[in-house]
Amino acid sequence: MLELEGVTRRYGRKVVLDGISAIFPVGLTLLVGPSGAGKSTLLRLLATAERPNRGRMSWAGEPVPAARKALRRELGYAPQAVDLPEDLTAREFALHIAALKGLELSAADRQFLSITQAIGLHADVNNRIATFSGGMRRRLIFAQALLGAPRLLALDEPTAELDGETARRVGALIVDRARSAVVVMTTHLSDELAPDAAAVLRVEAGRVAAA
Amino acid sequence: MSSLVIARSSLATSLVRYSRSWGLWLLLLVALIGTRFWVPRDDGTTIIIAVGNQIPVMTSAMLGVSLGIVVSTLLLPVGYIYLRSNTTRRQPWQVEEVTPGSRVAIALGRFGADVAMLFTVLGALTLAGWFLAWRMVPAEQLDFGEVALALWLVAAPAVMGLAAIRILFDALPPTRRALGDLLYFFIWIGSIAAPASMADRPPSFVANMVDFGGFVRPMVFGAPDGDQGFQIGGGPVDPGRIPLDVWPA
Repeated sequence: MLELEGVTRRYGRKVVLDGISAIFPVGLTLLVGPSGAGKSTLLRLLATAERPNRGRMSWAGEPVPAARKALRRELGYAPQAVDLPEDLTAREFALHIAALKGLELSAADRQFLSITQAIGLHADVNNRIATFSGGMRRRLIFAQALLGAPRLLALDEPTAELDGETARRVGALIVDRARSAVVVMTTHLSDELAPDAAAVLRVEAGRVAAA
Repeated sequence: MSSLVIARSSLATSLVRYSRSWGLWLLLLVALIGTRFWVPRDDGTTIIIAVGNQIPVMTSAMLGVSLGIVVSTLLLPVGYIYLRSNTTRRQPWQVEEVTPGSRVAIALGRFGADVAMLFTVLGALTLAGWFLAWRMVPAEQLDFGEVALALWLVAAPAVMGLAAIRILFDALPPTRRALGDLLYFFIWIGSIAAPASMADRPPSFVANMVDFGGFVRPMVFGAPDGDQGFQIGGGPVDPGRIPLDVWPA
């Protein structure tokens, strides 16, 4: 379980997250809200990519400054935009991330192939990322987040730029993972995934409310 | 988790990326062809390295030193731009930074790849240097080992320093972009200006340490008294050559 208590994040004088308190239990939590409301910033905080200016964050009951490494060992993070290494193949990139996650590489390779099979990227895993479309890149970023057995998945618009069928496949994987992990995702497809969500939180002007 | 696995993965992915970039082949080509213009000639068609306004007698060692000096002064920014344009600009920082992997292991792996890539370019330069030496140095004085040793003695620490700066700048988010480029420009200018400013000072700890390239003071040391101005680049020089080799023939 991931917990936030009075978390504030500022950039200069601009307050992006304003005293947010929320609990993210095992299951799927959707973050919805208008653009610029602070959803991605909240997700970056949950993924330890940023630190709050004020407030507390805890993972499995441990405060995150102390539990940061433990959280990162159990984290899968798919940010909205990543500067992908264009000259690597998708498989090379995934295996590099698997190495950084401390996974056993041959098992991670098998898992990557299985995930890419499920989301329709299998045929392109040995192609260079430079040849990928926006949707393929999005699926690759999603696939690397699932490597290992993350108990916390932070997904930023994983279905953006995907066609309906592929978005459904990605959605099915997310719902499957949410059975045993804390899954927090921002989405514009709240209607499709809402029935499977444990909670839908609306982020507006840096504050959170149940939708 | 093994830091060795992380370092090895960082090394391997960086090497793969370098080997697939057209910039590496361009650098190798420039190293092979450009060498002709980096060894001082009397006809003024090359970069000039001069002491006391005279270019040195071109022995095998001096040819290697000349190439090393050009690499470790004028060409370092080219290497910096190449390293930065390849792996820094397109690095998945957002994902890498939230993994539990050791940052030191990642940095060491990338440092190793950068050094390996730059050493490959130095290797090409050595081959070109041997060819030039075969053409320019009298047969009885020709020593390919001296060409290589002198070149690597001067250039290898400089390119390793360059790789270290690149990795340091990568480790700090603010210096991954334009700020890092600006800082490097000042470091580079300083690395040329500072040793030159100490060239005619009497030997001292400070004077020797400021010559961190390690070639200005040894070059000037070999020159006759009163002939100690050190010059790299272009401009007119006096006719004739000055013997600077201090190693016994």
